[in-house]
Amino acid sequence: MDLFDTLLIPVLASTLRLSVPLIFTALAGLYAERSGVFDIGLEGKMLFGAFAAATAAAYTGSAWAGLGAAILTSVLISLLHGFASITQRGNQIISGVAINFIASGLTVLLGNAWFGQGGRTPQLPNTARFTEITLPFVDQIRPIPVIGPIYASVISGHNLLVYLALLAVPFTWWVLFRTRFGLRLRAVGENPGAVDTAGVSVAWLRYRALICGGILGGFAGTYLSIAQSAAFIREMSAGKGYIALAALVFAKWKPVNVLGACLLFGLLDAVSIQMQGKRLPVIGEVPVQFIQALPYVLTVILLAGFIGKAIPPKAGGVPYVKER
Amino acid sequence: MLKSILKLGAAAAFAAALLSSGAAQAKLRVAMITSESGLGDRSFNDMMVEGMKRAEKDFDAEYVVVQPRAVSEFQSAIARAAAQGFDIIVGSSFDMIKPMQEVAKAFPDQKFGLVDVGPDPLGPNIVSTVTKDWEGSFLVGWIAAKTTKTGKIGFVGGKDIPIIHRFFVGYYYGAKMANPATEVFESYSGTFTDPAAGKEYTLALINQGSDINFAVAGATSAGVIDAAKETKTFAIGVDSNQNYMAPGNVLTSMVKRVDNQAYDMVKSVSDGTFKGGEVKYYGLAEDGVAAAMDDNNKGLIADAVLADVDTLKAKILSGEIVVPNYFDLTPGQKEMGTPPMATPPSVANAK
Repeated sequence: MDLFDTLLIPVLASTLRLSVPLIFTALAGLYAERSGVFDIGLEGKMLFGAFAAATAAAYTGSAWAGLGAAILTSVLISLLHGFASITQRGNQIISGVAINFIASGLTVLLGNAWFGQGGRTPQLPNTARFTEITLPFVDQIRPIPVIGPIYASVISGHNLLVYLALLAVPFTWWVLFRTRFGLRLRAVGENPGAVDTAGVSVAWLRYRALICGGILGGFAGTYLSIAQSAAFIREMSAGKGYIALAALVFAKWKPVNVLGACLLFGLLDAVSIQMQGKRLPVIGEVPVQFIQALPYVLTVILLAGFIGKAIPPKAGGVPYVKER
Repeated sequence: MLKSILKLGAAAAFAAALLSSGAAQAKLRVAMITSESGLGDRSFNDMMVEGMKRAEKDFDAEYVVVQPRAVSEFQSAIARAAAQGFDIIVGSSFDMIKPMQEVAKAFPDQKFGLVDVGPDPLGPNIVSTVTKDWEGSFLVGWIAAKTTKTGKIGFVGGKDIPIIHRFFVGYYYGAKMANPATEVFESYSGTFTDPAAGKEYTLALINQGSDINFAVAGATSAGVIDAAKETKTFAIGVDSNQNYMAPGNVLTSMVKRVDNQAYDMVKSVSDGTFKGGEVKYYGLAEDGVAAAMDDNNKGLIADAVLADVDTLKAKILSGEIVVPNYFDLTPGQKEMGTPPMATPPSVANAK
């Protein structure tokens, strides 16, 4: 029971917090890639979103303005990616990589020009952030064994964006598999020629998919800079966009799997954090680096075909050219 | 190529100097080169200017601040200053080592100073300083151990690398000297840029009972401070004064007093003791490190503990206390420092 309270509960709560940016970002990638546009630029979108959120929140003092600015910025970046790779039929990977480079440089440059703190934005007061929400009935449920602590300490007590991330998963599933837009979006990623023949614009569909991804990227950035932290800090996305991409592959481009993959990656992260410096019976001290490397190892194993096969959308990475 | 650029810069600056009909040479003229974040960074640049202001008053000097906007502009900025012939050109940060060395070669008669860098001499006309961050860490370790209510304190490092271990060993030594029963948790987030990781690592330490956590993790530190604010515990900042980042929850900051280091450089030119190639060490006794006190952490540390600081300083000056430097330790070493104390498990157990 002691281990339950001191180890399991904190690990689970930490897992949830660490998974959120991955969930938003992997879902953003899901929309784009399911429509046939590879999106390496997720990292950059997240970083731009984080910067926009922190900047807007710093100027207006409103977390919601921050969220709005982040979404707007991230969507604009997505459109840029779309313009290069859909309209101009450029290489999608190169466009995405370029976005990542621009994000890492431009955010610091602008941040330094506007705030002069070495690229970071000012510390935000709690009123300009998304802060922890306590769910109803926490005090009534807490005494119940097992369920009580889980409800009170794992499920309750997160900021709004954590719950939105969890809701975004079924929502994405519904959009993809239960709406006409979703059906077409999936079709355009598999066989754009057929969609075109049916009289639906391939370019516009892909643009809309990228806009969806942009919105989610904005949420991810907002979470990083004004929910989880209280300021933008240079390179604060710290490779999460790439981990999300790995999670997306690991999840075989399916929304519910994305949730599972992101939670797994978050769990490994949380375990490595809690395990630091602790000794396990028999094994002794576990090298933290080993656990930290696991998500990447797992993804490689998956890609090598050991855990089923990850088949990307068939038309992914190929700009659509109408036959003449 | 490089030389021609330098010459060009020199010519332009010379012309400019002619036009301005020559400044009064009676005063000591100092140029301070900021790092790319410039003035208003609430960090090293602002602190250095404070040192300049004091030097201006004390040595009848005048100073000019040059603010390059990017690391790539460092060299041209230093060269432009050198071309105008200041009595000393002072800069900071590791990024400025190479640019300053290049310019120093082209202007052998110009005096240069670089604060807070490594122990290697930089050139025949450059003086440099090393901050004894291990002594500063020792001090905040002492303060933390005297202030903790749980008897447990923590350390969140950026990466698991020797330069960060140096902070930990000092912190550990200070905490154990203040109270041998203190438990000191050691952890490394593996990144200098991820505040989210810093927060989670800190929450894990707090969960183990630690109520004061020392953050030596660059931008990751912001997460450590945020975790302290959220759980109503304390964080300790590093390098510059970070007390403002969460007033009431940052116990203090282990600051590198780059202002004093820069001040002393101007002083050395003023009294003729400037010795090119010299590397000076700044520790607790030299006021090169300190625990930051301001309105943001007023009343958080007991007066009795603050009074200890002067005693510790005196003991370090007399050699009664020698804070161990991680780089002097060997793996598996059992005792360290003067007075000797058991090494932290991470050093003692290292193969």
